[in-house]
Amino acid sequence: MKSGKRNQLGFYNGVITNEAYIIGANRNYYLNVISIGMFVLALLGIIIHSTLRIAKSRRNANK
Amino acid sequence: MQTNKLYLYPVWVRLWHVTNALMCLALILSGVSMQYSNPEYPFIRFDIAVSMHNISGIVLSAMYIMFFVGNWSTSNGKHYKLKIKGLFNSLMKQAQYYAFGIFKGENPPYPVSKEMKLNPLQKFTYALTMYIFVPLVFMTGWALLFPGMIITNFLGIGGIQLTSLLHVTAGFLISLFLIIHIYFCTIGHSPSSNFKSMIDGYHEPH
Repeated sequence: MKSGKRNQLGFYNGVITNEAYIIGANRNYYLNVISIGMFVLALLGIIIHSTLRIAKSRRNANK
Repeated sequence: MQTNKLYLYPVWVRLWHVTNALMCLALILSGVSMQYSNPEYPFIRFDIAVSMHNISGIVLSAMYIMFFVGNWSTSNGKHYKLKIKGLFNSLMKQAQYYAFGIFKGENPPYPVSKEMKLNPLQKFTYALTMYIFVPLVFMTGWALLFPGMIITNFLGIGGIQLTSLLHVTAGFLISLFLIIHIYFCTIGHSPSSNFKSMIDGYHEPH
């Protein structure tokens, strides 16, 4: 069954949501992975950038 | 110094911005709770999260109309107008400053002025968020509030399912924008000066 294959990949309750709306049932495996990846990359970017800024301001303060 | 400060954020922009920020936070918290938390131990109780999401979404829609009318009827709209010519180069120049120049003590390539309060990267991301992702999130949100309006099937995919996925995707991108936006607000004359601007409307030059 088409919906069975989708369910193995995650939370894709396509058949149910064709008839009704269940909040939280529309999670999608690939979207979850991509969103977690983007979120982690953004956080890493912020951590690296802010650490370098703090290091630079301390270096300037010590001059 | 007071004399160096630029008055860039009029009262309506500040009121709109703070209400928008609070509604976005309420929407993200309630949205994440509905979408991801364990139904038995929800982050926010389900019925409360639904009401919180619906009310904040309605207020955010009203705020969007305020933003749209405000930008259309005042000079604030000019800050969101993108010029395609030279756009890529200006985006790269600003990105290079954030990635390298800022650590070498270089001056910002596009200093804040009355004529240009947003640098090219800000202008691009703000315009993308406010003119594409926010309308998408509130249009799909209203559709989900009145699901009878949604077509039942679109190219073999349930209409509600597609609307919901678009809503979640746009909501996620706005959340990501918010996190990066808050971080970039710490880049200013001092880490807190841009947050002070949100209250008094004056920008302190970097």
